[in-house]
Amino acid sequence: MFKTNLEDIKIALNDLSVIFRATSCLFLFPLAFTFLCFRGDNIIDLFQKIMVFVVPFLSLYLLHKLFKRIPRKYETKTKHVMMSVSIGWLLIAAVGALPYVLSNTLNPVDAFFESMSGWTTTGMTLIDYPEKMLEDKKDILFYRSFTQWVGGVGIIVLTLIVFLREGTAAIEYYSSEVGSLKLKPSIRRTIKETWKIYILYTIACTILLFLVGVGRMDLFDALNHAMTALPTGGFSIHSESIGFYGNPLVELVLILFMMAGGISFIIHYRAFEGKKSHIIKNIEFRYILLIVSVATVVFFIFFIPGEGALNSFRLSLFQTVSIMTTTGFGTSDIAFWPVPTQALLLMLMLIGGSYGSTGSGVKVLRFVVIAKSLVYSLKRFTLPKSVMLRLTVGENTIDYDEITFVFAFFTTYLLLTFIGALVLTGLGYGGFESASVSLSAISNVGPTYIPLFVESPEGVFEPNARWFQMPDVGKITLILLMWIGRLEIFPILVFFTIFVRKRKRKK
Amino acid sequence: MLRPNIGDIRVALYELSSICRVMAFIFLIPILFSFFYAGEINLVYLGGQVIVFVLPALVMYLLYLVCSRLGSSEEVRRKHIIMSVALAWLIIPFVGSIPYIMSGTLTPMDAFFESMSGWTTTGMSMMINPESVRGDIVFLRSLSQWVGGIGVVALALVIFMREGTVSLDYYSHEVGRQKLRPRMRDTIMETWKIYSMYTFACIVLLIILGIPVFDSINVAFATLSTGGFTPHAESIGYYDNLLIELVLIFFMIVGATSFLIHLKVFEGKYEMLLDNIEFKYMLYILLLSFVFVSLFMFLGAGYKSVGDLFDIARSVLFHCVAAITCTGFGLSDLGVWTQIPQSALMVLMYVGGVYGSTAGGIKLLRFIVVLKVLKHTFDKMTLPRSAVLRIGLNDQFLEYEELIHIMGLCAAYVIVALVGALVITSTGFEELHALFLSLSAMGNVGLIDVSSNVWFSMSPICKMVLILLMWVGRLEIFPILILLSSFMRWKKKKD
Repeated sequence: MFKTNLEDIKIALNDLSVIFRATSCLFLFPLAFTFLCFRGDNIIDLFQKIMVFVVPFLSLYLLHKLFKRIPRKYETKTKHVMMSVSIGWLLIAAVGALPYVLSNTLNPVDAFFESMSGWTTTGMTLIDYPEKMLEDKKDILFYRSFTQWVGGVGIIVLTLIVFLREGTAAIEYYSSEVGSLKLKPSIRRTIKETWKIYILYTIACTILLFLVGVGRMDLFDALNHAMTALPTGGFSIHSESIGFYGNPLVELVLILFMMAGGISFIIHYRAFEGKKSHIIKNIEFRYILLIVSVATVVFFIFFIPGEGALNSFRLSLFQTVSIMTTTGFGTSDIAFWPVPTQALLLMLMLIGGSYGSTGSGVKVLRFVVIAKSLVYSLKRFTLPKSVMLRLTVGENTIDYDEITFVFAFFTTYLLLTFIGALVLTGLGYGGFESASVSLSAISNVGPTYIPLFVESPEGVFEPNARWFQMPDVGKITLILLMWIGRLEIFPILVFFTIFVRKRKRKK
Repeated sequence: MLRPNIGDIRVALYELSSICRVMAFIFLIPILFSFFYAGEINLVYLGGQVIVFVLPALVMYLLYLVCSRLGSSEEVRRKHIIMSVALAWLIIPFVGSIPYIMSGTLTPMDAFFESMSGWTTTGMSMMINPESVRGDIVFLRSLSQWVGGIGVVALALVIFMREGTVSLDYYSHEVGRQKLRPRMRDTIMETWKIYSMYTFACIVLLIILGIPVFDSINVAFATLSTGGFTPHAESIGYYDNLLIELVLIFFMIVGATSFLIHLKVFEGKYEMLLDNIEFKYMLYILLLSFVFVSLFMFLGAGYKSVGDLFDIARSVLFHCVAAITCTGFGLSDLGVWTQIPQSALMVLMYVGGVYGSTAGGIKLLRFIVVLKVLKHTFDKMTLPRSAVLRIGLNDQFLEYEELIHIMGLCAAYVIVALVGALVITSTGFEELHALFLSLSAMGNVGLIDVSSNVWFSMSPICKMVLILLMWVGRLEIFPILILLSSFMRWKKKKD
């Protein structure tokens, strides 16, 4: 029984003010970049370019000031945190659309789409040829990758600080881990540590990419891809994504860092504290390895006739890791893959990355729980009543509330995917296509089964109008799905309770 | 830890043998109709007609003998009954395809399809024109559904309602502390009696409304068992009679209501029906989907007159009832329905009827639990930590294991349906139609949303997949896993 009212919103907004101040400052980074890479000589041009970032900066700062003033009566409770998280992600993505609009890159709806795709680390894009922006809109390209980079940190911090601490949506498997982490005492410290590790990885990735990508990879390329690999985002500055480089070493480096992004950050913390053995013991990591291996083998078998052994392996491994970690980089357009492989890919999209990583989806941990409960069910049916059975993940027994939550989450997830797919079929897209787009959005993956580039009658590859000119209703649906999927649904449901007033239940 | 062995299989076979013996007699029943429909009273000719039924009966009897020899009557556990049932639902349709083959009605693959469709009370047919088929064969078809229906009810009552399942706790609370009849056999006999009475009532009503006797019998058989076979290719659309549709709606709902409730109603306790949460939900969901889909189709298609609304409503109501009760009768081609109405039907097919009835799907009981789980989780997020929440039906708490069983089945069901849809798609059907057919087969509904041409030119792989889905869906997946696991030897786990 809940009684939401205006008070709750006020509390949520007030809490949000702090976040907005920090986020507004973030916009200064692309601004600095604009300065650095400005090549023209006209000061008015420079000014115009800078304004593109100043406006969102000011907007967020103003909102921060505004929200700070909102009077609040009560203490923050769990549901307020959920609300502020939902509202925050939506508003930041909205404000983050401004640079695209102000620089005349995209129209407002498309801009909102691109912005949300960035901040949720999805990677679906409505920019058909990003490379065309290399000449005069390099700063916007940088900003685009930057949104994913920040979005990645945002979700890690969110999971650690909000989800795991508040005890909601948490599986005890990790809460005990978090509890024993040295970071626990201070939120500020958690954030600082996260950023440190994250920046370190990003720099390492940039350098490695630059080194191995001799020829087609310059520093800008390396930086951008590092910035979207780690948050398992997937934006690329080339329309062919990673296929552009045709370089197995580049792919290898990216596989490494995509995996790093797809592993729970708690493991990374442990590694940096010196306890490297945790990764092997982590159940999610083991399952990821298993699933990646199996999927790679299956794809390998499918592609061997067409591509030869080595290429097939390279392709299979890269795409598997890319989809599984919900990054979305591509060395081939999965829209053209044979249907059975596409089905398996959908499965991978659904499962997603680890809990507490930048990956999205239902999360490996929850899948492990579901798989184990099916086995549990089976055993219960076949073994005599006297046998004691326990449902465990690692050392933890899954208790009543946890299992309830996992199943509820999974059901709602599928339901929302189904509804999203329905909307798209209503717009004229095929059934399988729609399902893939819907799932890809809610799992924040990126690639879908609507091809991005199709062959025109003259034999030239051109942007697929069915994707790039999707009706606005479809784009908005996808924006909503990306938002809902990133936040793991329930915070948003809590948010919507604002608009619902329930009668007091009769006792 | 699963430690299967030949012993388990042997016990299962023993259980199976008694089922086989009963089946042998059932296969002889259509012979009555052979006499009616024989063209001439020529003994040789009659013999040729009748042997079509005698053969499967003999096979069944033989199986009974073999199984009772091979089987061991050692300690029977629930696991063995489950295994024997899984086997029964495979063997009986298999043997039951003999009449179709021998009489030249269908090819072997189609015959197996028709037979499985009958015994699982699905209702999908490979007969292009049932009107040109021998009367006794058509009767066999409907009989298989009728017997299949009561078989499912017996299954639910006997197996799944043994101690410790929430269904039993829930129902025993619902129907009062009074237990199910102390002897399972009595319960089953009572149930059969009620079932027959309803069937008879239905037959009589249909005859009164003008349907020929033979048709009435066949249709009634298919209605109470929520199967869906009719002697005409256009299904119930052939009659084009609103009264008939209403009568059938009534009896479809009867078939999809728990027979435990029926038992109570016949004892005079009518209020049991109205208190039954599943029954109430079935009506709510029907009302909701009826209103929503009718309005949607009316507004979407741009119809203007009230008369059109009435036609749409009539069709929607009938098909919605046919879907949720998993009967599968049709009035018109569903292929012209647009995506959203078809999706509504898919949801209804997934949900299914009441637990302990002849319907398929995940059953309303489980659906209600899913809804409650969702609400529970949501409440947990919004209420203060100190609030204590439990999931319950009426006043029964939902226990940990039950929760896992229920959610596990719902999840497994979706997965199997999706995999099935995938395979069907690869044989050429468009994706959403493939999903519709997959759900229809798994839920033992029988509705199809493709045109006849497309349907009858289905590939053999597709037929096989549908047969498997019908089998898996009827048994609610787990019995088959248990059966399969007994054919695999597992290493002993180190403790």
